[in-house]
Amino acid sequence: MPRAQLIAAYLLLVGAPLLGLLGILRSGQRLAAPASVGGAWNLEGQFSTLTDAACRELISDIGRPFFTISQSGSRLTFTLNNPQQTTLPGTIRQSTVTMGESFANGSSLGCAHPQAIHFQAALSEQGIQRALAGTLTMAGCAQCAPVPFRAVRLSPPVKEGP
Amino acid sequence: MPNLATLILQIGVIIAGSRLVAVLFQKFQQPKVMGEMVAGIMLGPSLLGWMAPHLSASLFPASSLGYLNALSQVGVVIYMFLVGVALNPKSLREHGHTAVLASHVSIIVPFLLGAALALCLYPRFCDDSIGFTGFALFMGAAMSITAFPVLARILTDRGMVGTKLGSLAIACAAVDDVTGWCILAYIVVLVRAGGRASTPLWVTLGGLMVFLLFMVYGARRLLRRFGVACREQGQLSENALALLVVVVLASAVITEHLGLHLVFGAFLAGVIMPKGKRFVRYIFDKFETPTVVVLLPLYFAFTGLRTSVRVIDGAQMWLFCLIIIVVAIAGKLGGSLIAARAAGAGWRDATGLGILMNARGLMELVILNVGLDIGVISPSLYSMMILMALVTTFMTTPLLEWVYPLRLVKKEISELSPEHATYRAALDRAVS
Repeated sequence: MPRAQLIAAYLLLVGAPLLGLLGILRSGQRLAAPASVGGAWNLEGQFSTLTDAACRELISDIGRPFFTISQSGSRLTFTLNNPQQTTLPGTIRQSTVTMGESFANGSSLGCAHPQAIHFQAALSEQGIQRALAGTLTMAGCAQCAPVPFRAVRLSPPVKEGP
Repeated sequence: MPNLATLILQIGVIIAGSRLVAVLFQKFQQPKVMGEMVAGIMLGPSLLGWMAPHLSASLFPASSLGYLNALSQVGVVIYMFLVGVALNPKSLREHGHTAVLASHVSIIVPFLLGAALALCLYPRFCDDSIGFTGFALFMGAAMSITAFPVLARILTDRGMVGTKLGSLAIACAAVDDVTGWCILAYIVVLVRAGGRASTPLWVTLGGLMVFLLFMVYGARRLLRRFGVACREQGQLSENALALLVVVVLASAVITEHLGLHLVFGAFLAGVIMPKGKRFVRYIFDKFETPTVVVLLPLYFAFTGLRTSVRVIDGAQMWLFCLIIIVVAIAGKLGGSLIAARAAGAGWRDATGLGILMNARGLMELVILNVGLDIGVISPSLYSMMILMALVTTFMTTPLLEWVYPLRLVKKEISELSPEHATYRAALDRAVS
Protein backbone atom coordinates (compact mmCIF):
# COMPACT_ATOMS: atom_id res chain seq x y z
CA MET A 1 0.00 0.00 0.00
CA PRO A 2 1.45 3.44 -0.92
CA ARG A 3 2.57 5.52 2.06
CA ALA A 4 0.09 8.39 1.47
CA GLN A 5 -2.79 5.93 1.17
CA LEU A 6 -1.66 4.18 4.34
CA ILE A 7 -1.57 7.45 6.28
CA ALA A 8 -5.02 8.42 4.98
CA ALA A 9 -6.41 4.99 5.91
CA TYR A 10 -4.78 5.23 9.35
CA LEU A 11 -6.24 8.68 10.00
CA LEU A 12 -9.69 7.58 8.89
CA LEU A 13 -9.82 4.16 10.52
CA VAL A 14 -7.86 4.85 13.71
CA GLY A 15 -7.95 8.64 14.16
CA ALA A 16 -11.70 9.05 13.67
CA PRO A 17 -12.69 6.28 16.13
CA LEU A 18 -10.21 7.75 18.65
CA LEU A 19 -12.00 11.09 18.41
CA GLY A 20 -15.30 9.24 18.83
CA LEU A 21 -13.91 7.55 21.93
CA LEU A 22 -12.94 10.89 23.42
CA GLY A 23 -16.48 12.14 22.73
CA ILE A 24 -17.98 9.11 24.48
CA LEU A 25 -15.72 9.52 27.52
CA ARG A 26 -16.71 13.18 27.71
CA SER A 27 -20.46 12.61 27.37
CA GLY A 28 -20.35 9.73 29.85
CA GLN A 29 -19.21 12.06 32.63
CA ARG A 30 -22.82 13.22 32.93
CA LEU A 31 -24.06 9.74 33.77
CA ALA A 32 -24.77 8.78 37.35
CA ALA A 33 -24.64 5.28 38.78
CA PRO A 34 -26.43 4.14 41.96
CA ALA A 35 -24.63 4.75 45.25
CA SER A 36 -22.14 2.08 46.21
CA VAL A 37 -23.43 -0.13 49.04
CA GLY A 38 -21.44 -3.29 48.32
CA GLY A 39 -19.40 -4.77 51.16
CA ALA A 40 -19.86 -5.99 54.72
CA TRP A 41 -22.33 -4.30 57.08
CA ASN A 42 -23.05 -4.39 60.79
CA LEU A 43 -26.55 -4.00 62.16
CA GLU A 44 -27.42 -2.27 65.43
CA GLY A 45 -30.85 -2.12 67.04
CA GLN A 46 -32.92 -3.13 70.03
CA PHE A 47 -33.74 -6.58 68.75
CA SER A 48 -34.54 -7.78 72.27
CA THR A 49 -37.91 -6.10 71.72
CA LEU A 50 -38.83 -8.79 69.20
CA THR A 51 -41.55 -10.61 71.12
CA ASP A 52 -41.23 -13.95 69.39
CA ALA A 53 -38.30 -15.84 70.91
CA ALA A 54 -37.55 -17.70 67.68
CA CYS A 55 -37.35 -14.41 65.74
CA ARG A 56 -35.06 -12.96 68.43
CA GLU A 57 -32.84 -16.03 68.27
CA LEU A 58 -32.76 -15.87 64.49
CA ILE A 59 -31.30 -12.36 64.60
CA SER A 60 -28.80 -13.23 67.36
CA ASP A 61 -27.81 -16.30 65.33
CA ILE A 62 -26.43 -14.01 62.63
CA GLY A 63 -22.83 -13.10 63.36
CA ARG A 64 -20.90 -9.90 62.74
CA PRO A 65 -20.65 -8.55 60.14
CA PHE A 66 -24.37 -9.05 59.91
CA PHE A 67 -24.63 -9.19 56.16
CA THR A 68 -22.66 -8.56 53.00
CA ILE A 69 -24.05 -6.93 49.88
CA SER A 70 -23.09 -7.84 46.35
CA GLN A 71 -24.11 -5.02 44.03
CA SER A 72 -24.87 -4.90 40.30
CA GLY A 73 -26.17 -1.40 39.66
CA SER A 74 -29.47 -1.06 41.50
CA ARG A 75 -29.79 -4.83 42.05
CA LEU A 76 -28.45 -6.09 45.35
CA THR A 77 -27.89 -9.54 46.79
CA PHE A 78 -27.72 -9.71 50.58
CA THR A 79 -25.94 -12.64 52.21
CA LEU A 80 -26.71 -13.03 55.90
CA ASN A 81 -23.79 -14.16 58.03
CA ASN A 82 -25.70 -17.12 59.48
CA PRO A 83 -24.67 -20.77 59.21
CA GLN A 84 -26.92 -21.22 56.14
CA GLN A 85 -25.50 -18.07 54.45
CA THR A 86 -29.07 -17.09 53.56
CA THR A 87 -29.28 -14.88 50.47
CA LEU A 88 -31.97 -12.29 49.93
CA PRO A 89 -32.63 -10.06 46.94
CA GLY A 90 -32.65 -6.30 47.33
CA THR A 91 -32.63 -3.02 45.48
CA ILE A 92 -31.32 0.49 45.80
CA ARG A 93 -33.50 3.27 44.43
CA GLN A 94 -31.87 6.68 44.85
CA SER A 95 -31.14 6.63 48.58
CA THR A 96 -33.55 3.91 49.66
CA VAL A 97 -32.23 0.41 50.21
CA THR A 98 -34.60 -2.53 50.45
CA MET A 99 -33.67 -6.02 51.59
CA GLY A 100 -35.89 -9.07 51.07
CA GLU A 101 -39.50 -9.14 50.09
CA SER A 102 -42.24 -7.46 52.02
CA PHE A 103 -44.56 -10.37 52.73
CA ALA A 104 -47.97 -9.61 54.12
CA ASN A 105 -48.62 -10.69 57.69
CA GLY A 106 -49.73 -14.29 57.74
CA SER A 107 -47.24 -15.25 55.04
CA SER A 108 -46.55 -18.96 54.82
CA LEU A 109 -42.93 -18.27 55.80
CA GLY A 110 -44.00 -17.58 59.37
CA CYS A 111 -41.84 -16.42 62.26
CA ALA A 112 -38.09 -17.02 62.42
CA HIS A 113 -37.75 -17.93 58.77
CA PRO A 114 -34.50 -16.35 57.53
CA GLN A 115 -36.18 -15.36 54.26
CA ALA A 116 -38.74 -13.39 56.26
CA ILE A 117 -36.23 -10.77 57.37
CA HIS A 118 -37.09 -7.59 55.53
CA PHE A 119 -36.07 -3.98 55.81
CA GLN A 120 -36.33 -0.68 54.06
CA ALA A 121 -33.76 1.94 54.99
CA ALA A 122 -32.49 5.35 54.03
CA LEU A 123 -28.87 5.57 52.94
CA SER A 124 -26.61 8.34 54.21
CA GLU A 125 -23.15 8.96 52.74
CA GLN A 126 -20.04 10.66 54.02
CA GLY A 127 -17.19 9.99 51.62
CA ILE A 128 -16.86 6.23 51.45
CA GLN A 129 -18.60 5.90 54.83
CA ARG A 130 -22.11 4.60 54.31
CA ALA A 131 -24.87 4.09 56.86
CA LEU A 132 -28.43 2.85 56.70
CA ALA A 133 -31.27 3.82 59.00
CA GLY A 134 -34.63 2.12 58.77
CA THR A 135 -37.02 -0.42 60.15
CA LEU A 136 -36.58 -4.18 60.20
CA THR A 137 -39.61 -6.41 60.12
CA MET A 138 -40.07 -10.13 60.42
CA ALA A 139 -42.47 -10.46 57.52
CA GLY A 140 -45.25 -12.90 58.22
CA CYS A 141 -44.75 -12.82 61.99
CA ALA A 142 -47.79 -11.24 63.57
CA GLN A 143 -46.26 -11.12 67.06
CA CYS A 144 -43.12 -9.12 66.34
CA ALA A 145 -43.37 -5.39 65.90
CA PRO A 146 -41.01 -3.63 63.46
CA VAL A 147 -37.63 -2.71 65.02
CA PRO A 148 -35.81 0.52 64.14
CA PHE A 149 -32.16 -0.12 63.31
CA ARG A 150 -28.97 1.46 62.06
CA ALA A 151 -26.43 -0.34 59.88
CA VAL A 152 -22.88 0.78 59.15
CA ARG A 153 -20.74 -0.40 56.26
CA LEU A 154 -17.53 -1.90 57.58
CA SER A 155 -15.70 -2.53 54.35
CA PRO A 156 -16.45 -1.22 50.89
CA PRO A 157 -15.14 -3.52 48.15
CA VAL A 158 -11.40 -2.87 48.21
CA LYS A 159 -9.76 -2.19 44.85
CA GLU A 160 -7.10 -4.82 45.25
CA GLY A 161 -5.87 -7.75 43.27
CA PRO A 162 -6.89 -11.29 44.09
CA MET B 1 -4.77 -24.74 57.55
CA PRO B 2 -6.59 -25.83 54.42
CA ASN B 3 -8.43 -29.11 54.45
CA LEU B 4 -5.96 -30.89 52.20
CA ALA B 5 -8.30 -33.78 51.45
CA THR B 6 -10.94 -31.31 50.17
CA LEU B 7 -8.37 -29.41 48.11
CA ILE B 8 -6.98 -32.59 46.52
CA LEU B 9 -10.50 -33.85 45.84
CA GLN B 10 -11.34 -30.51 44.19
CA ILE B 11 -8.24 -30.68 42.00
CA GLY B 12 -9.04 -34.25 40.96
CA VAL B 13 -12.66 -33.46 40.11
CA ILE B 14 -11.68 -30.32 38.19
CA ILE B 15 -8.97 -32.04 36.12
CA ALA B 16 -11.18 -35.03 35.34
CA GLY B 17 -14.16 -32.81 34.48
CA SER B 18 -12.17 -30.49 32.26
CA ARG B 19 -10.55 -33.41 30.37
CA LEU B 20 -13.92 -35.06 29.78
CA VAL B 21 -15.58 -31.93 28.44
CA ALA B 22 -12.48 -30.96 26.42
CA VAL B 23 -12.47 -34.38 24.69
CA LEU B 24 -16.17 -34.00 23.97
CA PHE B 25 -15.66 -30.54 22.48
CA GLN B 26 -12.75 -31.73 20.36
CA LYS B 27 -15.09 -34.26 18.76
CA PHE B 28 -17.07 -31.25 17.51
CA GLN B 29 -13.92 -29.62 16.08
CA GLN B 30 -13.71 -27.15 18.95
CA PRO B 31 -10.39 -26.19 20.56
CA LYS B 32 -9.96 -28.02 23.84
CA VAL B 33 -9.64 -24.75 25.75
CA MET B 34 -13.29 -24.16 24.86
CA GLY B 35 -14.27 -27.42 26.55
CA GLU B 36 -12.15 -26.58 29.60
CA MET B 37 -13.81 -23.18 29.92
CA VAL B 38 -17.27 -24.76 29.71
CA ALA B 39 -16.25 -27.44 32.26
CA GLY B 40 -15.27 -24.67 34.68
CA ILE B 41 -18.66 -22.97 34.29
CA MET B 42 -20.43 -26.33 34.75
CA LEU B 43 -18.70 -26.88 38.11
CA GLY B 44 -19.92 -23.52 39.42
CA PRO B 45 -23.31 -22.26 40.58
CA SER B 46 -24.59 -22.14 37.00
CA LEU B 47 -24.96 -25.92 36.78
CA LEU B 48 -23.58 -28.04 39.65
CA GLY B 49 -24.59 -25.48 42.29
CA TRP B 50 -28.03 -25.28 40.76
CA MET B 51 -28.69 -28.98 40.18
CA ALA B 52 -26.92 -30.37 43.27
CA PRO B 53 -26.47 -27.51 45.76
CA HIS B 54 -25.50 -29.77 48.66
CA LEU B 55 -22.90 -31.64 46.61
CA SER B 56 -21.57 -28.31 45.34
CA ALA B 57 -21.39 -26.88 48.87
CA SER B 58 -19.54 -29.91 50.21
CA LEU B 59 -17.17 -30.12 47.24
CA PHE B 60 -16.45 -26.40 47.05
CA PRO B 61 -17.06 -24.97 50.55
CA ALA B 62 -16.57 -21.21 50.62
CA SER B 63 -13.73 -21.56 53.15
CA SER B 64 -11.67 -23.64 50.70
CA LEU B 65 -11.91 -21.32 47.72
CA GLY B 66 -9.02 -19.13 48.85
CA TYR B 67 -6.60 -22.02 48.38
CA LEU B 68 -8.09 -22.99 45.04
CA ASN B 69 -7.79 -19.35 43.96
CA ALA B 70 -4.14 -19.19 45.04
CA LEU B 71 -3.28 -22.30 43.00
CA SER B 72 -5.23 -21.06 39.99
CA GLN B 73 -3.43 -17.69 40.14
CA VAL B 74 -0.08 -19.50 40.03
CA GLY B 75 -1.37 -21.25 36.92
CA VAL B 76 -2.41 -18.05 35.21
CA VAL B 77 0.91 -16.40 36.13
CA ILE B 78 2.85 -19.19 34.39
CA TYR B 79 0.42 -19.17 31.48
CA MET B 80 0.80 -15.42 30.96
CA PHE B 81 4.55 -15.93 31.06
CA LEU B 82 4.21 -18.50 28.26
CA VAL B 83 2.01 -16.09 26.26
CA GLY B 84 4.75 -13.48 26.60
CA VAL B 85 7.45 -15.99 25.59
CA ALA B 86 5.45 -16.97 22.49
CA LEU B 87 5.19 -13.36 21.34
CA ASN B 88 7.74 -12.76 18.64
CA PRO B 89 8.29 -9.19 17.43
CA LYS B 90 9.58 -10.63 14.12
CA SER B 91 6.09 -11.79 13.15
CA LEU B 92 5.00 -8.14 13.24
CA ARG B 93 8.00 -6.83 11.30
CA GLU B 94 7.40 -9.33 8.51
CA HIS B 95 4.05 -7.70 7.76
CA GLY B 96 5.15 -4.12 8.31
CA HIS B 97 2.64 -1.31 8.06
CA THR B 98 -0.24 -3.50 6.89
CA ALA B 99 -0.24 -5.50 10.11
CA VAL B 100 0.08 -2.36 12.20
CA LEU B 101 -2.89 -0.75 10.45
CA ALA B 102 -4.98 -3.93 10.58
CA SER B 103 -4.21 -4.61 14.22
CA HIS B 104 -4.76 -1.03 15.37
CA VAL B 105 -8.12 -0.85 13.59
CA SER B 106 -9.06 -4.26 15.00
CA ILE B 107 -8.44 -2.79 18.46
CA ILE B 108 -9.93 0.68 18.14
CA VAL B 109 -13.25 -0.33 16.50
CA PRO B 110 -14.32 -2.85 19.19
CA PHE B 111 -12.86 -0.48 21.80
CA LEU B 112 -15.09 2.33 20.50
CA LEU B 113 -18.17 0.10 20.43
CA GLY B 114 -17.39 -1.23 23.92
CA ALA B 115 -17.08 2.31 25.27
CA ALA B 116 -20.33 3.30 23.51
CA LEU B 117 -22.06 0.31 25.10
CA ALA B 118 -20.74 1.52 28.46
CA LEU B 119 -22.99 4.59 28.10
CA CYS B 120 -25.94 2.24 28.32
CA LEU B 121 -24.51 -0.22 30.88
CA TYR B 122 -22.95 2.20 33.38
CA PRO B 123 -26.15 3.45 35.09
CA ARG B 124 -27.59 -0.07 35.15
CA PHE B 125 -24.71 -2.30 36.22
CA CYS B 126 -22.24 -0.03 38.02
CA ASP B 127 -22.13 1.90 41.25
CA ASP B 128 -20.63 5.26 42.05
CA SER B 129 -17.38 3.77 43.40
CA ILE B 130 -16.27 3.44 39.77
CA GLY B 131 -16.05 6.45 37.49
CA PHE B 132 -17.43 6.30 33.97
CA THR B 133 -13.99 6.70 32.37
CA GLY B 134 -12.54 3.62 34.07
CA PHE B 135 -15.63 1.57 33.30
CA ALA B 136 -15.81 2.64 29.64
CA LEU B 137 -12.10 1.98 29.08
CA PHE B 138 -12.44 -1.42 30.71
CA MET B 139 -15.41 -2.34 28.50
CA GLY B 140 -13.42 -1.19 25.48
CA ALA B 141 -10.40 -3.29 26.46
CA ALA B 142 -12.58 -6.33 27.21
CA MET B 143 -14.22 -6.05 23.78
CA SER B 144 -10.96 -5.61 21.89
CA ILE B 145 -8.88 -8.47 23.32
CA THR B 146 -7.93 -11.47 21.17
CA ALA B 147 -6.96 -14.90 22.44
CA PHE B 148 -3.53 -15.15 20.86
CA PRO B 149 -2.87 -18.73 22.10
CA VAL B 150 -6.30 -20.01 20.98
CA LEU B 151 -5.89 -18.30 17.61
CA ALA B 152 -2.44 -19.84 17.15
CA ARG B 153 -3.77 -23.26 18.13
CA ILE B 154 -6.69 -23.08 15.68
CA LEU B 155 -4.35 -22.00 12.88
CA THR B 156 -1.91 -24.81 13.69
CA ASP B 157 -4.68 -27.43 13.89
CA ARG B 158 -5.96 -26.34 10.46
CA GLY B 159 -2.48 -26.07 8.95
CA MET B 160 -3.07 -22.38 8.22
CA VAL B 161 -0.05 -20.89 9.97
CA GLY B 162 1.92 -20.27 6.80
CA THR B 163 -0.98 -18.99 4.74
CA LYS B 164 -1.31 -15.28 4.02
CA LEU B 165 -4.30 -15.09 6.35
CA GLY B 166 -2.64 -17.13 9.09
CA SER B 167 0.54 -15.10 9.27
CA LEU B 168 -1.39 -11.81 9.15
CA ALA B 169 -3.70 -13.03 11.95
CA ILE B 170 -0.72 -13.98 14.13
CA ALA B 171 0.92 -10.60 13.60
CA CYS B 172 -2.33 -8.73 14.36
CA ALA B 173 -3.05 -10.85 17.45
CA ALA B 174 0.47 -10.22 18.74
CA VAL B 175 0.00 -6.46 18.47
CA ASP B 176 -3.50 -6.76 19.97
CA ASP B 177 -2.16 -8.66 22.96
CA VAL B 178 0.58 -6.16 23.79
CA THR B 179 -1.72 -3.17 23.24
CA GLY B 180 -4.56 -4.78 25.18
CA TRP B 181 -2.42 -5.50 28.24
CA CYS B 182 -0.94 -1.99 28.18
CA ILE B 183 -4.45 -0.49 28.10
CA LEU B 184 -5.59 -2.79 30.89
CA ALA B 185 -2.58 -1.82 33.01
CA TYR B 186 -3.53 1.84 32.53
CA ILE B 187 -7.14 1.10 33.52
CA VAL B 188 -6.08 -0.71 36.68
CA VAL B 189 -3.93 2.27 37.66
CA LEU B 190 -6.80 4.65 36.85
CA VAL B 191 -9.42 2.69 38.79
CA ARG B 192 -7.21 2.15 41.81
CA ALA B 193 -6.19 5.81 41.85
CA GLY B 194 -9.87 6.76 41.98
CA GLY B 195 -10.72 4.23 44.66
CA ARG B 196 -9.39 3.10 47.99
CA ALA B 197 -6.12 1.90 46.57
CA SER B 198 -3.50 0.78 49.05
CA THR B 199 -0.66 1.92 46.75
CA PRO B 200 -0.36 5.67 46.02
CA LEU B 201 -0.54 6.58 42.32
CA TRP B 202 2.96 8.07 42.26
CA VAL B 203 4.38 4.85 43.63
CA THR B 204 2.57 2.86 40.94
CA LEU B 205 3.63 5.09 38.03
CA GLY B 206 7.18 5.80 39.20
CA GLY B 207 7.78 2.23 40.26
CA LEU B 208 6.39 0.89 37.01
CA MET B 209 8.66 3.15 34.97
CA VAL B 210 11.76 2.08 36.90
CA PHE B 211 10.70 -1.57 36.74
CA LEU B 212 10.08 -1.45 32.98
CA LEU B 213 13.46 0.16 32.35
CA PHE B 214 15.15 -2.42 34.53
CA MET B 215 13.42 -5.34 32.80
CA VAL B 216 13.99 -4.10 29.25
CA TYR B 217 17.55 -2.80 29.59
CA GLY B 218 18.89 -4.76 32.57
CA ALA B 219 17.19 -8.10 33.09
CA ARG B 220 16.77 -8.73 29.36
CA ARG B 221 20.54 -8.61 28.79
CA LEU B 222 21.15 -11.01 31.66
CA LEU B 223 18.45 -13.35 30.37
CA ARG B 224 20.19 -13.61 26.99
CA ARG B 225 22.55 -16.04 28.68
CA PHE B 226 19.65 -18.45 29.06
CA GLY B 227 19.11 -18.33 25.30
CA VAL B 228 22.82 -18.87 24.61
CA ALA B 229 23.02 -21.79 27.07
CA CYS B 230 19.95 -23.39 25.56
CA ARG B 231 21.32 -22.99 22.02
CA GLU B 232 24.71 -24.48 22.94
CA GLN B 233 23.67 -27.25 25.31
CA GLY B 234 20.10 -27.87 24.18
CA GLN B 235 18.79 -27.34 27.71
CA LEU B 236 19.15 -25.28 30.88
CA SER B 237 20.63 -26.57 34.09
CA GLU B 238 18.22 -27.10 36.99
CA ASN B 239 19.70 -24.07 38.75
CA ALA B 240 19.18 -21.89 35.66
CA LEU B 241 15.61 -23.12 35.32
CA ALA B 242 14.93 -22.36 38.99
CA LEU B 243 16.42 -18.88 38.52
CA LEU B 244 14.18 -18.32 35.51
CA VAL B 245 11.10 -19.28 37.54
CA VAL B 246 12.22 -16.92 40.31
CA VAL B 247 12.53 -14.08 37.75
CA VAL B 248 8.95 -14.72 36.56
CA LEU B 249 7.51 -14.91 40.07
CA ALA B 250 9.47 -11.85 41.24
CA SER B 251 8.26 -9.87 38.24
CA ALA B 252 4.66 -10.88 39.01
CA VAL B 253 4.98 -9.99 42.68
CA ILE B 254 6.56 -6.62 41.90
CA THR B 255 3.74 -5.55 39.56
CA GLU B 256 1.21 -6.72 42.16
CA HIS B 257 2.93 -4.64 44.86
CA LEU B 258 3.11 -1.66 42.52
CA GLY B 259 -0.68 -1.70 42.50
CA LEU B 260 -1.13 -3.45 39.13
CA HIS B 261 -1.78 -7.18 38.91
CA LEU B 262 0.28 -10.36 38.95
CA VAL B 263 -0.47 -11.13 35.30
CA PHE B 264 1.29 -8.00 34.00
CA GLY B 265 4.61 -8.90 35.57
CA ALA B 266 4.40 -12.50 34.36
CA PHE B 267 3.57 -11.36 30.83
CA LEU B 268 6.40 -8.81 30.84
CA ALA B 269 8.87 -11.47 32.02
CA GLY B 270 7.81 -13.61 29.08
CA VAL B 271 8.11 -10.77 26.57
CA ILE B 272 11.72 -9.98 27.54
CA MET B 273 12.85 -13.61 27.42
CA PRO B 274 15.17 -14.67 24.55
CA LYS B 275 13.25 -15.51 21.38
CA GLY B 276 15.49 -18.20 19.93
CA LYS B 277 13.41 -21.09 18.60
CA ARG B 278 15.23 -23.70 20.70
CA PHE B 279 14.82 -21.69 23.89
CA VAL B 280 11.11 -21.05 23.28
CA ARG B 281 10.56 -24.73 22.49
CA TYR B 282 12.46 -25.74 25.64
CA ILE B 283 10.43 -23.43 27.88
CA PHE B 284 7.19 -24.72 26.40
CA ASP B 285 8.32 -28.33 26.83
CA LYS B 286 9.05 -27.69 30.49
CA PHE B 287 6.05 -25.58 31.48
CA GLU B 288 3.20 -26.02 29.04
CA THR B 289 1.89 -29.46 29.98
CA PRO B 290 1.69 -29.05 33.79
CA THR B 291 0.23 -25.58 33.33
CA VAL B 292 -2.37 -26.53 30.74
CA VAL B 293 -3.32 -29.91 32.21
CA VAL B 294 -3.27 -29.15 35.93
CA LEU B 295 -3.20 -25.45 36.76
CA LEU B 296 -5.30 -23.79 34.06
CA PRO B 297 -8.34 -26.02 34.65
CA LEU B 298 -8.22 -24.76 38.26
CA TYR B 299 -8.38 -21.21 36.90
CA PHE B 300 -11.34 -22.12 34.68
CA ALA B 301 -13.05 -23.77 37.64
CA PHE B 302 -12.40 -20.78 39.89
CA THR B 303 -13.80 -18.54 37.16
CA GLY B 304 -16.80 -20.85 36.90
CA LEU B 305 -17.34 -20.73 40.65
CA ARG B 306 -17.57 -16.93 40.40
CA THR B 307 -19.91 -17.08 37.41
CA SER B 308 -23.59 -17.60 37.90
CA VAL B 309 -25.79 -17.55 34.86
CA ARG B 310 -28.67 -17.32 37.32
CA VAL B 311 -27.75 -13.72 38.20
CA ILE B 312 -28.70 -12.88 34.62
CA ASP B 313 -32.28 -12.73 35.76
CA GLY B 314 -35.24 -11.70 33.64
CA ALA B 315 -35.80 -10.79 30.00
CA GLN B 316 -34.16 -7.37 30.31
CA MET B 317 -30.90 -8.82 31.63
CA TRP B 318 -30.81 -11.45 28.88
CA LEU B 319 -31.45 -8.71 26.33
CA PHE B 320 -28.41 -6.82 27.64
CA CYS B 321 -26.42 -10.05 27.49
CA LEU B 322 -27.44 -10.50 23.85
CA ILE B 323 -26.53 -6.88 23.07
CA ILE B 324 -23.09 -7.38 24.65
CA ILE B 325 -22.50 -10.47 22.50
CA VAL B 326 -23.67 -8.73 19.31
CA VAL B 327 -21.53 -5.63 20.00
CA ALA B 328 -18.50 -7.80 20.79
CA ILE B 329 -18.86 -9.71 17.51
CA ALA B 330 -19.65 -6.63 15.43
CA GLY B 331 -16.71 -4.73 16.90
CA LYS B 332 -14.01 -7.36 16.67
CA LEU B 333 -15.12 -9.34 13.62
CA GLY B 334 -16.38 -6.26 11.78
CA GLY B 335 -13.44 -4.08 12.81
CA SER B 336 -10.86 -6.65 11.74
CA LEU B 337 -12.71 -7.24 8.48
CA ILE B 338 -12.71 -3.51 7.67
CA ALA B 339 -9.06 -3.28 8.63
CA ALA B 340 -8.04 -6.18 6.41
CA ARG B 341 -10.04 -4.84 3.48
CA ALA B 342 -8.43 -1.43 3.91
CA ALA B 343 -5.04 -3.13 3.96
CA GLY B 344 -5.83 -4.73 0.60
CA ALA B 345 -7.00 -8.24 1.58
CA GLY B 346 -9.78 -9.97 -0.36
CA TRP B 347 -13.23 -10.53 1.15
CA ARG B 348 -12.52 -14.15 2.10
CA ASP B 349 -9.21 -13.36 3.82
CA ALA B 350 -10.68 -10.28 5.50
CA THR B 351 -13.65 -12.23 6.85
CA GLY B 352 -11.34 -15.03 7.96
CA LEU B 353 -9.19 -12.54 9.84
CA GLY B 354 -12.29 -11.09 11.50
CA ILE B 355 -13.45 -14.53 12.61
CA LEU B 356 -10.03 -15.44 14.01
CA MET B 357 -9.58 -12.16 15.85
CA ASN B 358 -13.05 -12.53 17.37
CA ALA B 359 -11.91 -15.57 19.43
CA ARG B 360 -11.38 -14.28 22.96
CA GLY B 361 -10.87 -17.46 24.96
CA LEU B 362 -8.79 -17.47 28.10
CA MET B 363 -7.42 -13.95 27.60
CA GLU B 364 -10.93 -12.55 28.06
CA LEU B 365 -11.38 -14.59 31.23
CA VAL B 366 -8.13 -13.17 32.63
CA ILE B 367 -9.22 -9.60 31.84
CA LEU B 368 -12.69 -10.15 33.31
CA ASN B 369 -11.27 -11.65 36.50
CA VAL B 370 -8.98 -8.64 36.87
CA GLY B 371 -12.03 -6.39 36.33
CA LEU B 372 -14.07 -8.22 38.96
CA ASP B 373 -11.15 -8.22 41.43
CA ILE B 374 -10.67 -4.45 41.20
CA GLY B 375 -14.44 -3.86 41.30
CA VAL B 376 -14.77 -2.23 37.88
CA ILE B 377 -17.47 -4.70 36.80
CA SER B 378 -20.29 -6.11 38.85
CA PRO B 379 -20.99 -9.85 39.28
CA SER B 380 -23.90 -9.85 36.84
CA LEU B 381 -21.96 -7.98 34.15
CA TYR B 382 -19.05 -10.37 34.76
CA SER B 383 -21.33 -13.35 34.09
CA MET B 384 -22.67 -11.75 30.90
CA MET B 385 -19.17 -11.03 29.65
CA ILE B 386 -18.11 -14.62 30.43
CA LEU B 387 -20.97 -15.83 28.25
CA MET B 388 -19.80 -13.44 25.53
CA ALA B 389 -16.28 -14.92 25.76
CA LEU B 390 -17.70 -18.45 25.45
CA VAL B 391 -19.92 -17.59 22.45
CA THR B 392 -17.21 -15.72 20.53
CA THR B 393 -14.68 -18.52 21.10
CA PHE B 394 -17.18 -21.25 20.28
CA MET B 395 -18.17 -19.70 16.94
CA THR B 396 -14.62 -19.37 15.62
CA THR B 397 -13.96 -22.88 14.25
CA PRO B 398 -17.33 -23.50 12.53
CA LEU B 399 -17.39 -20.01 11.00
CA LEU B 400 -13.80 -20.36 9.82
CA GLU B 401 -14.60 -23.72 8.21
CA TRP B 402 -17.54 -22.07 6.46
CA VAL B 403 -15.59 -19.09 5.15
CA TYR B 404 -12.20 -20.72 4.72
CA PRO B 405 -12.77 -24.47 4.22
CA LEU B 406 -9.87 -26.86 4.60
CA ARG B 407 -9.81 -27.64 0.85
CA LEU B 408 -8.96 -23.97 0.21
CA VAL B 409 -6.22 -24.06 2.82
CA LYS B 410 -4.71 -27.14 1.15
CA LYS B 411 -5.00 -25.50 -2.27
CA GLU B 412 -3.31 -22.31 -1.09
CA ILE B 413 -0.49 -24.22 0.57
CA SER B 414 0.08 -26.38 -2.53
CA GLU B 415 0.39 -23.22 -4.63
CA LEU B 416 3.04 -21.65 -2.41
CA SER B 417 6.41 -21.03 -4.03
CA PRO B 418 9.38 -22.92 -2.52
CA GLU B 419 10.48 -19.67 -0.88
CA HIS B 420 7.09 -19.29 0.75
CA ALA B 421 7.04 -22.95 1.71
CA THR B 422 10.28 -22.46 3.66
CA TYR B 423 8.78 -19.41 5.34
CA ARG B 424 5.62 -21.37 6.13
CA ALA B 425 7.62 -24.21 7.65
CA ALA B 426 9.55 -21.74 9.81
CA LEU B 427 6.31 -20.15 10.98
CA ASP B 428 4.79 -23.57 11.66
CA ARG B 429 7.75 -24.48 13.83
CA ALA B 430 7.69 -21.14 15.63
CA VAL B 431 4.00 -21.34 16.45
CA SER B 432 3.48 -25.02 17.05
